[in-house]
Amino acid sequence: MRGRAGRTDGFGRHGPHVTLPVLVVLGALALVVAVTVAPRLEVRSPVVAMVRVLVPSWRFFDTVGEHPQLLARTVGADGTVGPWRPVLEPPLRTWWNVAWHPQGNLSLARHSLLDRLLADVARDPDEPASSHVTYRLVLDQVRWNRSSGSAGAVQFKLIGPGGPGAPTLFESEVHDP
Amino acid sequence: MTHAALRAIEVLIGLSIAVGTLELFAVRGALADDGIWRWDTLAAELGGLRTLLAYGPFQAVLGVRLVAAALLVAGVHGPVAPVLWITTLLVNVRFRGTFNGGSDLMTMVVLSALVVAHLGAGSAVLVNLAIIYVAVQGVLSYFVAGVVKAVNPAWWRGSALAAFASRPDFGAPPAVRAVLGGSAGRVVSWGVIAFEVAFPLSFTGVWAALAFVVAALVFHLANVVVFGLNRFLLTWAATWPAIVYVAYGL
Repeated sequence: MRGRAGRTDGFGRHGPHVTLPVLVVLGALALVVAVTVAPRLEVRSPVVAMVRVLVPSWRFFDTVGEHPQLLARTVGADGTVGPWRPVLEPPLRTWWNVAWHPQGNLSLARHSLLDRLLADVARDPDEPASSHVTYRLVLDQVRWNRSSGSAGAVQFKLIGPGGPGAPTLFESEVHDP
Repeated sequence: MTHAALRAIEVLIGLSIAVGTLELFAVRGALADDGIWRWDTLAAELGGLRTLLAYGPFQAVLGVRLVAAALLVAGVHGPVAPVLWITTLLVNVRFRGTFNGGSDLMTMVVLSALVVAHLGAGSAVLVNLAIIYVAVQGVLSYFVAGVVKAVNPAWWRGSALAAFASRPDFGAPPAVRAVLGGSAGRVVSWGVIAFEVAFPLSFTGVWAALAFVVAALVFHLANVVVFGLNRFLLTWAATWPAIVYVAYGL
């Protein structure tokens, strides 16, 4: 009779009880590990990218990345430029954000546009940056923040972490308001 | 047991979608024609979907999604799950992929399973397969996230977690940033890796599954505190009944 905890081999010794289902599960996990650590496939088709929500991907927080910050400034008709100012302020936190956090989730979505702009520019260095939809979405962020009535043209840039002195990762053209 | 597990999944994912939809309504100014995701920008890629995704119709899509989520919570089947699947896909397409990243992916996983479970409601095999699919994806989500951290030395040093916590977009409280930036951050990093990589052990029995679900609850609450990721809590909670159900059946 065979116990649950182990089985007797031909020499009367007890060994681990490795059944076919256990081997299948371990093999599946090994396959998942191999796929997980393999280089990520780049999706170039915009149509495929738009329905990527249908393909599960669980590589959360795998690499730190550049996490750029968005700064903008005004440019007057006479060419005078204002100071660079941050566009995205961190959302305030309260205890009910456990259930309700619309501004926080909007902030995350806005920041992800910055990452995607850098990725688009890096992927197509020969294309004008302004031809990317992500470029216009980031420009719209800048315009949306200053829609309270300030005049003048605008320019934005993305900088690395570390505050105003951080290296510039991308700088836009000057755009009319 | 099958009915209870399916019902728990429906209620939790319905609540998750309802909250997510109400949050989108709360920031709808960013989706308007003078906002960020304005239609004249998006139309370059999505012009063919104008009748569904331009700002006016899109609010109707959100309204339908909200009503369908409420009906799902109330226990209504019929076309509710397919309607939620389609409207959720449309919402993500308007954001050119996803709005909330991983939580949107898991929402689609659960909704896909519910479509199968509801359409095949007369078949115990299809309902079971749907629940198993949710459970496997739930476990894989933790396991894969753990593996990609385990192969990254910055996670073992604790510097990766500290860097994520200091990202301005997450808006972590200063006290939390200070703690995770010190030696405690390394211990927390090791704990996260161990918890996530070990998650497949939840399938070894009901008590193991319940223990991992409790740990997952603490993990997601911590994610809300540090990173503000409230959407992940309810969305992933919808996978937990499936995980316990599968552990019970194995």
